[in-house]
Amino acid sequence: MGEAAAPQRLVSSYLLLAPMLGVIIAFLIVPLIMVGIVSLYRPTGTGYVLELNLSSYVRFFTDPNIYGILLSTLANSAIVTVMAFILAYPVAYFLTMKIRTFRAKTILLIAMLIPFWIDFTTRALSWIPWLGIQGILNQVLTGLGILREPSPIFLFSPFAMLLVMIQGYTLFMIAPIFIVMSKIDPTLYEAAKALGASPLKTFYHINLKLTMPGIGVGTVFVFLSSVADFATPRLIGGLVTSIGQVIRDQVVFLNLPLASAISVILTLIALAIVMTVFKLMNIRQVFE
Amino acid sequence: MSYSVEAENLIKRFGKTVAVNNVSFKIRKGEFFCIIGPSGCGKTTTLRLVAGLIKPDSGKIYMNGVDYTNIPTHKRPLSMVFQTWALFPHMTVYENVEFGLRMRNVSEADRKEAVKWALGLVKMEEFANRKPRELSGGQQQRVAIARALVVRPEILLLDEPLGNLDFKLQLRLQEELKQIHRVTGVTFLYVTHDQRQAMALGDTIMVMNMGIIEQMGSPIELYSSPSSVFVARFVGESNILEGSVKAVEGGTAIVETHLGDFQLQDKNVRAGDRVWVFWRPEDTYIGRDAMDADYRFNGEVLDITTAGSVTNYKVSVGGQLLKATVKGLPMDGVESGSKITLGCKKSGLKLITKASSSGLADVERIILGE
Amino acid sequence: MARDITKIILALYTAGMVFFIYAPIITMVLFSFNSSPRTVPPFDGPSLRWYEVLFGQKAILLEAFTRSIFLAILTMLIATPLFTIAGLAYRRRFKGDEFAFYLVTIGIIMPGITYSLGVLIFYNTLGIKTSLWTGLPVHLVWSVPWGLILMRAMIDPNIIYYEEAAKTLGASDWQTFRRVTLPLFMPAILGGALFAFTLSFTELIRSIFIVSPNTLPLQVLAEVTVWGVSPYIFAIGSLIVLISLALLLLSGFLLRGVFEKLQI
Repeated sequence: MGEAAAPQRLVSSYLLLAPMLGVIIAFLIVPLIMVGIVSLYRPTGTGYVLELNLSSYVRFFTDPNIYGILLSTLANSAIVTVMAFILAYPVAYFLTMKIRTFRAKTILLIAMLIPFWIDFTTRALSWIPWLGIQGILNQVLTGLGILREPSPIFLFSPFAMLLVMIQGYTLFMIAPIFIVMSKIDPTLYEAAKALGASPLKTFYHINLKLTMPGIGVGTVFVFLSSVADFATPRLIGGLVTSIGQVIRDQVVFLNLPLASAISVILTLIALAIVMTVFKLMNIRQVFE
Repeated sequence: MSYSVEAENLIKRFGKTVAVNNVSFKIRKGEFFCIIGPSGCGKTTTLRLVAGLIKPDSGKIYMNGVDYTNIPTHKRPLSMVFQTWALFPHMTVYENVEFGLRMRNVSEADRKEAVKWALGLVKMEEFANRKPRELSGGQQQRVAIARALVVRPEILLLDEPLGNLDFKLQLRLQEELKQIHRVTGVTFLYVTHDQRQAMALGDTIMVMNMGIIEQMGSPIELYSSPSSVFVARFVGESNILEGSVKAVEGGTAIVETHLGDFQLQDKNVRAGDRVWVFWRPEDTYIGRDAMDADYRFNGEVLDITTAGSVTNYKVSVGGQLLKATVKGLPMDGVESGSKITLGCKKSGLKLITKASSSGLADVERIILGE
Repeated sequence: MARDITKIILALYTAGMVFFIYAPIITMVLFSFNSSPRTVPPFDGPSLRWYEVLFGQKAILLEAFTRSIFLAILTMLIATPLFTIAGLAYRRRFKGDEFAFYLVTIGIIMPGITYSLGVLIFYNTLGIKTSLWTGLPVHLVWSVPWGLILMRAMIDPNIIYYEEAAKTLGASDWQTFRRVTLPLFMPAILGGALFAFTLSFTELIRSIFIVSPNTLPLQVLAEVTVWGVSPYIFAIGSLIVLISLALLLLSGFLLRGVFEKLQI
């Protein structure tokens, strides 16, 4: 049409956005700013004084208990994210390419959604019959002779924590990939074939590359959720501590500035990761 | 005289660009009115102003003598066919076509009849229960036309409706549109960049360029008497020689070009004016026929193409490109590189006095490639 | 031929994944009926004792459950109009559209505890005591962005043309909205609403500091922290599964007509 290509000031759009933005600014932006401010106050034994200093940040970088846990949490989350991706992709592919009717797709998706309504904690605990020393997994493995005796490493261990997280977050990886993959123009596959691409090449160049935005969204979400998750490690991770737990402890100890400082650093890392992933994977495509 | 549509001094800006620059025109009842021009000339914007989808910065729009400038689209006595057809994807063909009637609270029985008529008009009756995504481009186009016509509008707006179709289909639908226009007597306002379409369909054609009207008239007028270099080039193929007026004697102007002097019918020019000599390729003679012509040129053939019953020659004469369109197959022995003689008669020549009707120096410079 | 083999492999894989997701659920339901306090095999025979515990001594869990439902419904009812009308704004490009979008999605990106901490400080500063209601804005901040994402991702790029076409056919602004815009957005709106409910109901991390009395996830965490794991936890979980399944079947049945109409 060649008309207004540049975005204009549309009053109608601003009015429509106002309610949502109002809620967000009041209850998201303001609290976050507060966290930033509090992180700069000086902690006293029972609270904090309105004095600006960087002692909390210093503490963070000098206390291996703290930054070490952050690093291990990040590492765990990375593992969870990668595994979630590997497991989710074939499912998303199956749903998009091999299931024809909209109804069937919806049913399958919702079927996978149902376990979600069981709260996180119960879901984590539901693995106990499987992973305990007398659990199903151990019994099967010893029965088959792979293990000589039941192993305690399956429960209350990093293994359990990772497993539960992967199970919990995979759906969040399946959904965005599925949505983005569904939007790929089917004639592209034919075009690739006509140009002589083998099925593998077609898959790589069309399917994988064009689903990048969806992968990006899923990655960001799974990674950030697992980083912040302190419940799962607490429940079945055994001795594993997460950075979320550290923050929570500091709150309990009434050291809000330190909790805030850790939070700020965590947020900055999260933002950095998100921006990098978004840049790499051209997220805007999802919305066009 | 009752005018279906009257546009008065319409101006529309988008940011710094003036998309529609003081455009005025009148469309008679039952007329097939085409607006043509290159991309970005403002034709679609003009259409959307008439439709009411956008509001003019200044100017007025009348329909049947009533001022509709500030009245919203849905109250205007018109309907529209979109370039992308815009069929509602969540409704069947039948529901799409009956939509306008539902908005007018037509009873179900009457709706059924009307939809049947409209679908019959475009020969899409059997597709009534299909969804748009199941139809081909041409079929969707037909449904879009039916949907717009079923409400018996006084004015039908069409925005490049045949743009997304293949050539043969375009020609066929063109014919059908012409027939529908004749049968229904609705006023058509048709926008396209394809001047051949407009020439075939329109009673009146308005040529736009950069927001202004270059020329408005019947297809014949535009073809044989273009008022500017822009129109001469935009509509059909042309031979244009730049020159200056040497002298004016009686009713004749003598124009000096680098291919020689020409005598043309005067158009109120004065000595020293910059003008152009213009004639159509069909008025160029080659070979033996060129021998009796008033003006003769010798040149070298650059290209020969045959299009059915005519042959097009592109000839270089002293560095200038001239075109000839001659009935029949290529002349014997003539091919790229051959020497050839071209000729044209005095009667076929016309004088063009401006590059663009806009009077804007920038526009003229662009047209002349300076 | 090769394509069929791929399909079968993928189908088996997906079945495997579904099993992976459901297996613990199945055992959970099973063990909720265990007659002994064991949470690992062997299964000692069916009994309803844990459900009795749930309804009796541990009724606190049911109260928490009700609160969770209440809050989830509230979140869904408020979040939906918010993201719906915001999503409508994105039919056109406008100045600041991407900025506003990123601002809103910060709520998702932000690590949960950070945000919860912020809200805690926020409420402290304003002197607001924690209650069930104080959790509402938090849940909204968490679910509204997802609704907006869905709206934007599922928008038909031609939506403006459809609306214009409707107008040229005589539809007023309201009629255009009702008959063209809304039906085309319905899948995204419903999806977003469902998502809002789910996210709110299972929300733990963001609520930790500022919701009291406890919603279900928080209560379970508390119970387990104090008393360890026992089958009554499984009982409440099973109850939820049962209710969800029932709700799903019910809505699938009721919305059948809607589904067919929405086959876009």
